[in-house]
Amino acid sequence: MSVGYTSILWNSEKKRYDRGILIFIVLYMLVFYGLHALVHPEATFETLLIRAFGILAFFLLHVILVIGPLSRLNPAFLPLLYNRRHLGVSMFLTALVHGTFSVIQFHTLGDMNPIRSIFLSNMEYFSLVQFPFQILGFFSLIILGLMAVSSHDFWLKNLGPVVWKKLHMLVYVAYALIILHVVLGAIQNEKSLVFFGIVLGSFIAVCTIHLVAGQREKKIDEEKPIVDNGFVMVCKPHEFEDNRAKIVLWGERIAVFKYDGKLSAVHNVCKHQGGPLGEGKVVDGCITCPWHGYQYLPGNGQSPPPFNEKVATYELKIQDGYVWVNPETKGEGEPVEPLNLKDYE
Amino acid sequence: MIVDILLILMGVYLLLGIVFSIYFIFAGASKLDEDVKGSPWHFWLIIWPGSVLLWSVLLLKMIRK
Repeated sequence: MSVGYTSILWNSEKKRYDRGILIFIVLYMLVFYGLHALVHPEATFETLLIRAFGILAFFLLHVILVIGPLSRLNPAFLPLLYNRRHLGVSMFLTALVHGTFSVIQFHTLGDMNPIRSIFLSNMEYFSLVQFPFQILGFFSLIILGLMAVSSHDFWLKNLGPVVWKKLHMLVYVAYALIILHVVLGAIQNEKSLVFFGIVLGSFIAVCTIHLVAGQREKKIDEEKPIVDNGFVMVCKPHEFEDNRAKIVLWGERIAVFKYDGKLSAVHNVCKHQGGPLGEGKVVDGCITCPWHGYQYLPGNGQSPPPFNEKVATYELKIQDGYVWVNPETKGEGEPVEPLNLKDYE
Repeated sequence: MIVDILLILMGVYLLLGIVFSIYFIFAGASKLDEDVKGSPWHFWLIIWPGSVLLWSVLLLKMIRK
């Protein structure tokens, strides 16, 4: 949150996930080298390094791309979403190793500038089977680099959420370039159809998961809420899970949380990065965003001191056995008396 | 020819970025965001590459401020 900065926002959970990422990468490298040494004993160490890191970056990028929609479909994936930023930086570093060793192996042996050589060593720009696919990797690495270096909260705050989000949505451009980089590269070097099958399958999986999640969001947005005297029906009180929210749509999404036998309603959008607060939970008395752990007090929508983020709050009532929310906000950070469910038992 | 122009432009952009980043790290950042004051050295190390690559956006923000 925005009081002071540190280099890396680590807590015990993020450290555990980062250790997990590191262990996975080390194990993957060992398995990859072992298998490759058996199947392709003729391959040089540098070639193995390029392939190992390239495939790893490709895999990690797919994981990163599906975490968002998967966590919308199933909250069990939310812890991965919470730690996605570190995975993104790890993926960039992996891709950077792949790119750096590729340039060293293929573009430093002549007398041409290596970067110039990427563009000029193969001029078959109009050929599908001979296309200089490394250029696509080069541009995707620039995009991934921009995303990695701007992943710190400092950049989110100082570039502004809109610019920051637009910059980070470029991951889909990078993904398209990488798919082309891999496919066009494989056309020149790979004989096995299995490889193409895996790439195609991964691409279809990413697209399908995004479409399914998008369809579900669309369905939620199209639901017509019941309105009475300016209040929007939420659900029956017993339908709430403890420390979780029900989301209501009335122009904006409103998250109604149950905690300590009480109900409070806040705007569903986190001030940090637009995360869906209603998909998070109440931790230590605070609504906790599932994306990066930003917290707000349910009773007034304010971040606990010394932080100063505020989200809008809403009035609630119980009528005819249902919980209702007034979609007219009380304002950002405005205290609203929580609805005590014990009073209605 | 096109490639050479592209590479020269990229080189010039990066060079300007490096120059700007020195100013930004030592003076500009605290003018843009007061919360950076007192941040540890490793924070500056983390944001340095971004200030090189995103210097044009930062410069615009600083001018507007």
